Amino acid sequence: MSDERHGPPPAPSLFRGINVIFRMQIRRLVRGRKLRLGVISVVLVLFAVVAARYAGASRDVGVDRAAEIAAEAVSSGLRWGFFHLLAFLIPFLFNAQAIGEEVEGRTFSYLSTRPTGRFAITVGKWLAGTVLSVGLLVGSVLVLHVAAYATEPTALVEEIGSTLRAAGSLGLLTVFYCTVCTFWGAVAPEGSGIISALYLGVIEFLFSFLPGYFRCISMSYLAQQMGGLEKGGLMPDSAPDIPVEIGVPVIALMTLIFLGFAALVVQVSEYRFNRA
Amino acid sequence: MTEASIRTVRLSKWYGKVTALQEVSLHLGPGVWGLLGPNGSGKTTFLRLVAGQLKPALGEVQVCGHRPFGNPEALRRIGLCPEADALYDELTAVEMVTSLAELSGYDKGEAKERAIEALKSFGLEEAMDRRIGGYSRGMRQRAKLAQAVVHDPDVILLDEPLTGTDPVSRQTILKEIRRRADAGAVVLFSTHVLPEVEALTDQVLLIARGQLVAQGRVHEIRGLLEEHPHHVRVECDRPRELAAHLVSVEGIVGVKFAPQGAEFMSWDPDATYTAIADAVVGLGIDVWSITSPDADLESLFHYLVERSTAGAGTGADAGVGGARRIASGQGYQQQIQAPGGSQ
Repeated sequence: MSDERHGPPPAPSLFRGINVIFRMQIRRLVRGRKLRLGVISVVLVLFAVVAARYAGASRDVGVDRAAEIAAEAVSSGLRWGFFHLLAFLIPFLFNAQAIGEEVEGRTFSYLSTRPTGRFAITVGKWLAGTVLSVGLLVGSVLVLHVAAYATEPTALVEEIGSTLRAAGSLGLLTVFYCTVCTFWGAVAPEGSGIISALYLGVIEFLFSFLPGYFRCISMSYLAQQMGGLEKGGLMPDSAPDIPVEIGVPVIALMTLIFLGFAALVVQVSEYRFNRA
Repeated sequence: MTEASIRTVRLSKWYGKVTALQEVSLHLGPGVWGLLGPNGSGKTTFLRLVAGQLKPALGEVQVCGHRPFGNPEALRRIGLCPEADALYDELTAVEMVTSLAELSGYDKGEAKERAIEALKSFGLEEAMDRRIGGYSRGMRQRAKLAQAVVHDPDVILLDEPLTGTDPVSRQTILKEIRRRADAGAVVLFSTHVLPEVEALTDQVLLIARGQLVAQGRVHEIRGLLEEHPHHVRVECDRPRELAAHLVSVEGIVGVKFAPQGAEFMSWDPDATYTAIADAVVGLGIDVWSITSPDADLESLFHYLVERSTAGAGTGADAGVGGARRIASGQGYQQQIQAPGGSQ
């Protein structure tokens, strides 16, 4: 290095800061164990659903019945494999520790002593986990559709609309869950895993089975409704129908609220530096 | 652009009921400063406050004229090498340092150039494309240092920067730190290994029990310690004869004999050295060595820590102030605070 000192450059823009944090986080996720775990989970679910679908159609059935079996398999797979399992697991894997692992791993100081600003740290990390989660889940839904209808080309085309609708609402729900996990990771980095799991398990999973308006507390129920899935749980007829024009703004607003609070918490926290 | 500086005014920080730092006021200009103190004395808390990772409970800290917590204008001028052995193990060193340089404001191309240059300056050119997870402790330390200086900061904060390094890389690191200080940066590095400081600078801050007990050049601080007379050890062939000759010299307050010499305690070391020289010539004594065993940093450190511990409690009851003498030197304040004394 030359002996002349030029001094530090001006602080980068918010967008550039987010972009750098996003790339760093994607690289870490792709090279770490979490992505592998996520892919394995998705493959297992896909394998189970597709295996069940073709086991059900192993007898010599007519074309209509075969298409029905495929539709049932996709519907059940979406409900139990995706909305009730992977939609929780994948965001949890990619986002619950996004802030927490930096704080607990003591690498947060490398980012927080840069002029980028902590807002960029929060948003960049959230975005990386969210893009990977949504990509993995929505991509898997499409794979499920193709695999389930592989032997029924007419139904494969005809049913793509309803599958895309379900994939869209699953994507929106995934964005929300990623935000929730990021939020709890920011609020309680040391216990982000358990708190996120509790929140998702109680508020999102259990509440989606309650009767009446109680289940509207769960964004999972709203997303399932928008995705065209049938109502299940306790006294399903007592639960209100949720149209897309209500469901989308509600989930989007909740996402923004959680993201805003996550950014605020990261902005003002001293985290574990605040220890003797 | 304001000059590189660190300024604190009555800076205090506590964790619950524990006082980590109490009313530290100082001003540091360009150069290397050793931040000394026993474990748990408040060194790391002080560095974290300066680095903008903590907010002061009371008082104020400014880096180049700006408060650092959450302030991009201050943060862009700070480079921090934290103590913890924590890095992004999934990334290569060049990826990590490039990303952090980008976060400091460089575009991608320039950031990578600077990252490579910084890593090379710390001797990591061979390993920079390998993942950090496979690095040795010393290599990890050098990667941490490279990210701390990649953006040419005005204020470089190094928390135990030589931990785990071998003698060769230690020399490389010390040379690089010195070079940056010579170029106008404020380098503040904390350690409890005193020879590390002596190898780099004679400007020190001593923190004990959360209080700044001394600041300045080692020999000047030593000169201000009034309760400890200076020790002058003379190894010679006739120590008793020498002692008998010197015992009436003003300032000498005691003498101890060793098998091959004598150790004089004196309030006036300059006069003592002169008297020894006169006596040696006058009496024809053979002298093998003359040393000052308590003039090094280690002795000073122990005196000051002992002094602080003897009089101070922690927290709100801690005695602050006491005898304070100010001497000028290089524009910095030399001060000693003796707990429990009168101001």
